[in-house]
Amino acid sequence: MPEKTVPARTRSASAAQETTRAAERYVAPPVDIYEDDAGLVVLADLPGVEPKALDVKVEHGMLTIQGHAKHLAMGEPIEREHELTAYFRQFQLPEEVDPAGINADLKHGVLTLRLPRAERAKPRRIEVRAS
Amino acid sequence: MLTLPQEVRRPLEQLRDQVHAAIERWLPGRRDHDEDQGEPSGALVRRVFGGPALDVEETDDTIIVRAELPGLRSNDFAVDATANRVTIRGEKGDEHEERGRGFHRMERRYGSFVRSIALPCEVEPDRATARYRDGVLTMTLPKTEASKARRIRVEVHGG
Repeated sequence: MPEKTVPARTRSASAAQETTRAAERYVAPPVDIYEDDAGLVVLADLPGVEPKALDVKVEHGMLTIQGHAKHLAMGEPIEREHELTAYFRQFQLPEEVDPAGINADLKHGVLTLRLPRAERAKPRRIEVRAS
Repeated sequence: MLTLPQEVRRPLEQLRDQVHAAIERWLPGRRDHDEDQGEPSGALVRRVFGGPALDVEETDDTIIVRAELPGLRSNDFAVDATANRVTIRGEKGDEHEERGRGFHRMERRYGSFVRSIALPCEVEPDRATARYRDGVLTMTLPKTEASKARRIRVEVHGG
């Protein structure tokens, strides 16, 4: 599953983009991607992100994971290793994923995405008949 | 994931704790005002040993420590606080050991971890509270009366 290192923009989005605005800082969340019988499973670490602050979308065959961690700064920073901030990552989906069947679940700061294989891409047993 | 027997793992974990402590002693954590000191020791420890990322904040009455622990349940880790140090240790099980077929990427970390951090002032560990939500652990450690008194606000008058 190839990754897009530069955030992709759709034509409509770039038209509305403010060119003067500085690009937002974001962190690429670590992911595990593996295959199971139903299709692809993507696990992404998104600590501090509430379900309502998470945006997962598929557009033009591109999967985009975007989330904002609630920033709870209560005092002055002493040690800051990982500013709880914005997460962003994009992957090019393989053709055989069924975009309508994608299922996303966010629990304990981990996103589990299930990307089912499209029916036509599922392996089929081919009967071999002896003549 | 490689699982070592307890009698091998225990001494290895102790060695790891000692190395952590040594690194922290040699390379005290970078503060915001000394940018030139290079890599903060915390980031170095974390890159080598893979413990959770920590944020430490100070208010007038408390020290707040936040740790990123995505995918853990609250009984997967334990927190110990003393007057000047917080230690978080835990174990993250590999949730896809059995289904591990056809891996495309494996970037998330599994296994046991320990992170220990020195606090900027003395706290009362008995009155500390901790909360775990959305994969983030937030500890609130009330300062001792002595450390509260140490903090003096200086008013700056503009001309």
